[in-house]
Amino acid sequence: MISFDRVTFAYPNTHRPAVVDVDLHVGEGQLALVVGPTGAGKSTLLKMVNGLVPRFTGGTLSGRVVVGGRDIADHSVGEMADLVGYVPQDPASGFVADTVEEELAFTMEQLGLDPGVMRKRVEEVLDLMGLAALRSRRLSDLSGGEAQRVAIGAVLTAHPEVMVLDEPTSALDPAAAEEVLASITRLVHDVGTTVLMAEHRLERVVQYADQVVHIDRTGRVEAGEPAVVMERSTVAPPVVRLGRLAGWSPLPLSVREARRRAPSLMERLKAPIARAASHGEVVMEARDVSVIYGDSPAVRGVGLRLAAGEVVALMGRNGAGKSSLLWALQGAGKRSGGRVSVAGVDPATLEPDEARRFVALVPHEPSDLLFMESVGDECRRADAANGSPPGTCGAWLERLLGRIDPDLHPADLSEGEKLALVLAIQLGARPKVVLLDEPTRGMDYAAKQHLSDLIREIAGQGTAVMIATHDVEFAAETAHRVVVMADGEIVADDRTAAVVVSSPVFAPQVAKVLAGDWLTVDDVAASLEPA
Amino acid sequence: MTRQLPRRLHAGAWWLWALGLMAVATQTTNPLLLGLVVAVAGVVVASRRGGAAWASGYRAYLVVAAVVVAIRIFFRTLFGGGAGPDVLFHLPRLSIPGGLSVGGPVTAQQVLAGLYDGFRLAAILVCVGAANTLADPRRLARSLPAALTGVATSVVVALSMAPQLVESFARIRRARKLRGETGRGWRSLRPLLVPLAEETIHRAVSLAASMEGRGYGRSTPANRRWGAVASGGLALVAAGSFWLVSGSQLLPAGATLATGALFVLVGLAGAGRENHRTRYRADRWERQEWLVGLSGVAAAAGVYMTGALTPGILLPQLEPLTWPQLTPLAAISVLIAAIPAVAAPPVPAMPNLQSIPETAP
Repeated sequence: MISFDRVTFAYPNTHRPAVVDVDLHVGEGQLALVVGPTGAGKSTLLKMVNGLVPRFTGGTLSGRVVVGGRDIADHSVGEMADLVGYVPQDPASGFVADTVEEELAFTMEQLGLDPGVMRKRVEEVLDLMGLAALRSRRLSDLSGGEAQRVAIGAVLTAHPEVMVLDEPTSALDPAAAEEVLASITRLVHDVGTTVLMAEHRLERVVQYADQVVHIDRTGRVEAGEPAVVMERSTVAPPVVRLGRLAGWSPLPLSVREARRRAPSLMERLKAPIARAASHGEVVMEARDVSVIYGDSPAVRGVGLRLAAGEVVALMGRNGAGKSSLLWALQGAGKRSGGRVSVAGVDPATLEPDEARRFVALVPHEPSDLLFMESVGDECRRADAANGSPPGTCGAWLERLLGRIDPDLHPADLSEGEKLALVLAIQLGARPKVVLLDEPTRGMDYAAKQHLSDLIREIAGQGTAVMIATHDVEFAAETAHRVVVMADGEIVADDRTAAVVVSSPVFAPQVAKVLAGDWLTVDDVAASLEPA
Repeated sequence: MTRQLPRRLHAGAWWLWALGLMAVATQTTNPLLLGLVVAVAGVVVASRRGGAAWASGYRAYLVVAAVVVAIRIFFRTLFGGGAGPDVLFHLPRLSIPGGLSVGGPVTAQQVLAGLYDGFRLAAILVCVGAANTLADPRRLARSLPAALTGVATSVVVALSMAPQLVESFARIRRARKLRGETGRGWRSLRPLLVPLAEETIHRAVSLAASMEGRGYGRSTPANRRWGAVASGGLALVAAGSFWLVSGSQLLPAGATLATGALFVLVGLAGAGRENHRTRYRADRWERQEWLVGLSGVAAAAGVYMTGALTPGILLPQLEPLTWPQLTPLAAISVLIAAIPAVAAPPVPAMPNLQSIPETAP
């Protein structure tokens, strides 16, 4: 269905091609998963399927890309629309209509389908994607998972033979991700659609793939059986890393496969090494905090304590009130009731430039805080504002990212790099508490590992850190304590192991496989008896 | 009698109705008649307004209309120069170099002229507001002739982008505090505008990619040829109207205008026939649409006839001061436009929309 024949592509004004010499064939009704580190060209490969690359971006392409018998060299993007459905990374950015129903019909209107056919297909897709209850909702009022399903449905109505999905679950909480993935697998199984999908969080999807396409940083592509490709993959979900550690072959791709082999591994394991729980003094105490928008409460009477040196993960589904709580704790956001005290001071009573010396927040969209011409300028401005000696922010940035060209424009940084820059700016103010809102979006495993180490290090210097995240593996790796919110209230607050192991939604893969207090592959490695 | 099925009326019907009322308002300065227009618009809006977000702006139009009246009276009072015999009071006079003067005697004629004039403008504004409140402007764009659907889609998309821009602005403004950037003056705009511009451009590019990927603009060469015919016609229309207004040669000017109009129609029809786009659940034009649209047209026609039969009614005299009059014909004509309040189909109940005023990300 999709075939790449010796394809090499370079963006304009670059020295290095984004993908090199790709030979790739995806058969009809297959689900192919594109994996690889950040910036390796996954999105580029996906956009070639309907010709957005190179037609929309410019650049040089050699070789042939043929989809369903159509060569992208001879067909414009619009002419591929009935064949290829492309769902971009941020689904909301591609919405063109006002309500769900109109959005679903848009592609069909462009293709000129008969109104009767359109009406019928919209109803079918509403059912298939579980959107019937949302049909006349405004697109701007949808949650992340709903928006993702609408975006998929909107291309589905045209009955494309090929679906291309760029990180469809990256912004979703675990439950919403499951829902979206279930919809996608249903398409593959029941409708016979060919799916090409990129994803960072392999633990969620790798078991559904018929084929894995691995791109490395040089743009070289290797495609094949999932278990074979994952042997050498530079990115691997915990269950694969566990399999590698235990020397299992073929590698397990799902928790279920791994669990069957777990007993032999369990025999070789000592009791898990308990993580050093921090018992520093309490630096932040929040009592009865609530946030009310209009007449709908987002946070209801939350009480929370953060101790120095502690890393806390704040989890819960989209819309549970996590972001609202972080903003209220920082003082810049709305707080309708309750008290917050950081080292005896309520940050909301301080001027913003004072408040950030007590509580620093790295928001969901780090780029909101970046506005200078270059990374170096950002750092200089931050040092001046923080009153810290010149070079402080630059030093933090180097620890976070390694050396980075100070003349780069902030807009050219990757999501992870922007986050690091904002974190460096905020750390320059030497806050007592650092809050991070969903920091791992768009990060590969290596970047997440690095961030996790750094957060531990920052905490080790006596700062309290709280991270709102959907990423259960990251939380298991990083946090001492997990707080779970639902509907604006705290429903669980305990040691990481105590909260996540027993939860079907929040348990990391290693905990699911081994059914014990091991949370990460590193935990297992540490307690593994030498064979 | 069977109950009317709740449905959305064709947006064009509401606009036709509102245009009729506006035509009434432009013809007259009679405050009684204008008051009737505003009242009719209000009654219809109150009874046939939907629950959607775009339908909640009527109050704003009323406020703006009131402000317009006030401003009009204020300026007439200040700069009116005491035209008319009936002096109400004196303001201190102030001469400005250049022959202008401010203040002086204020006459009833001055104030009333301001009131009448302002009221006319206000009534037109209220009619626009009523149309906007009763019909989603986006739906109107969706109902444009087939040849213009490309343009219509761009307009719809642009309209949908506006609220997102407002939302981004609020979010970035809040985020600025996190960096302690709360300075005043134009330098403090930078932390606000740079991220906003970046996000807007980024969003526009991804939107364009998405529209393209979904088949927008699969235009055929034939489509463009008809477009050229229509544009040529449009140029003729422009030239013809200019000629006509300059008033020298009526016949050739009129001929040019007519030819141009013909070309436009042919172009649009041709492009429409070859247009391969279709519309999902297009608004239908049925009996009620005729009724609503024609009620507005009838009001305009009735008032026009009033003007022909009894000219004094539409433009009441100020010298000497007389109480404005109404004739049965004028009053009944305008009241016809209130028929939609009962005859238009009821608005379907909106599903329980959750309004999220200040969404936390």
